[in-house]
Amino acid sequence: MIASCFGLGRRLSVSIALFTAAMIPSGAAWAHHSYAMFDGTKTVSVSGTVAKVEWANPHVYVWIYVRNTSAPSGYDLYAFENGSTGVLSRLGWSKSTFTIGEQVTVEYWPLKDGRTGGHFVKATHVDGRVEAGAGGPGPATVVPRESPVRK
Amino acid sequence: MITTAGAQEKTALPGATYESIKTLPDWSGWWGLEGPLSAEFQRVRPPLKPQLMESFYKTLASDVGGFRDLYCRPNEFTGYSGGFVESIEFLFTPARVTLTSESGLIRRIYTDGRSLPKDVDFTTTGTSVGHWEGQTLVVETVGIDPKALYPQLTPAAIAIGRNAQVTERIFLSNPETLHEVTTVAPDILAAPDKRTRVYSRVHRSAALQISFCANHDRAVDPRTGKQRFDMTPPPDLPPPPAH
Repeated sequence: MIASCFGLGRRLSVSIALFTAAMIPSGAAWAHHSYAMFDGTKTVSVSGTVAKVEWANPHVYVWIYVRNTSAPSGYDLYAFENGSTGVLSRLGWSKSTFTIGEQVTVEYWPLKDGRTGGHFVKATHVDGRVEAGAGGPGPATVVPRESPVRK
Repeated sequence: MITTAGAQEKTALPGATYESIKTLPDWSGWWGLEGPLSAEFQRVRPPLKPQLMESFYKTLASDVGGFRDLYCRPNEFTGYSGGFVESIEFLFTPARVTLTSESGLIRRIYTDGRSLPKDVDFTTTGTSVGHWEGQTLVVETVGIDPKALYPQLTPAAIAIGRNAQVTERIFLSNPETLHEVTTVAPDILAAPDKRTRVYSRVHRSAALQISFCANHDRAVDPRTGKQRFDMTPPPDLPPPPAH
């Protein structure tokens, strides 16, 4: 159950971290790699089925299947790079933030080479909860404080 | 048993015995920096010498990479203990505080009253001594590897030089917030670099792990150091949904 992924209360430290993430640039050029493969000038979004979350450092990857009737399997596989487990933990994530098979809409900075993937910006569960990502080539994700993020 | 006056003084130091450790502040668990270090350095630029400042920001803006040299370089202490973004923890044992980070850095801070050595070997962590001023731990560090990169591991980072010295004052402002005030005054800086970093307790401590780029970095080729985006599906990826 998705709702059980999170604690009963949203801790102050998480609130501060989210607020901080919303207020400052992600500082892409300071990372251990440059994010040059992503187009940080625009974001796009896709909706699909969560296939897997690779919960590992230095980057968490989120994989989703996106319906494409012209593809041999009927789906395209999308991959999204995200921040580290530590940073995402402080934003309220855990390895079970997404459930395999659940429907999500992911907003991302696309790969410049046109492949199906990019850098995770944020994702929205079907119930409206928003998961802000970390890192990437563009401005940090802004999560409205009044949004139904993990209450 | 004969006890020297010096030994008595040392056992009287705060944190010198297990019993004494109980009087020290509760820094248990892991601590995460609030906001990325990158944003801090963008907000308040390090006071690099003018000629270095120009090349530093030129390199940052160029996005040139340079990952071959940086890739999987061990963490180095040049004023910040947390690696890229990782959390840190403090371990108290008699006459010593050990600081570890998710990126594998281990700093041994001796609080037994010793002075900084005059002849010190250069290491990636430097040599640290500390003392307690009430509930504040004051740490002095010298012997930082001259090749250690400042301000952190980035393609634009600069070797810190031979005369780096760091002073930290670490204290709780409340049970959830820990401040680290750092002064760095190496050869490459025109003035001491004073910063206040705020850490929050990381309550989800069970999942913390060592972050080392050799493992699971789809963004950088470990053989060449070149940037990439490896979309090889995980071996245990479930099949697409039935339709």
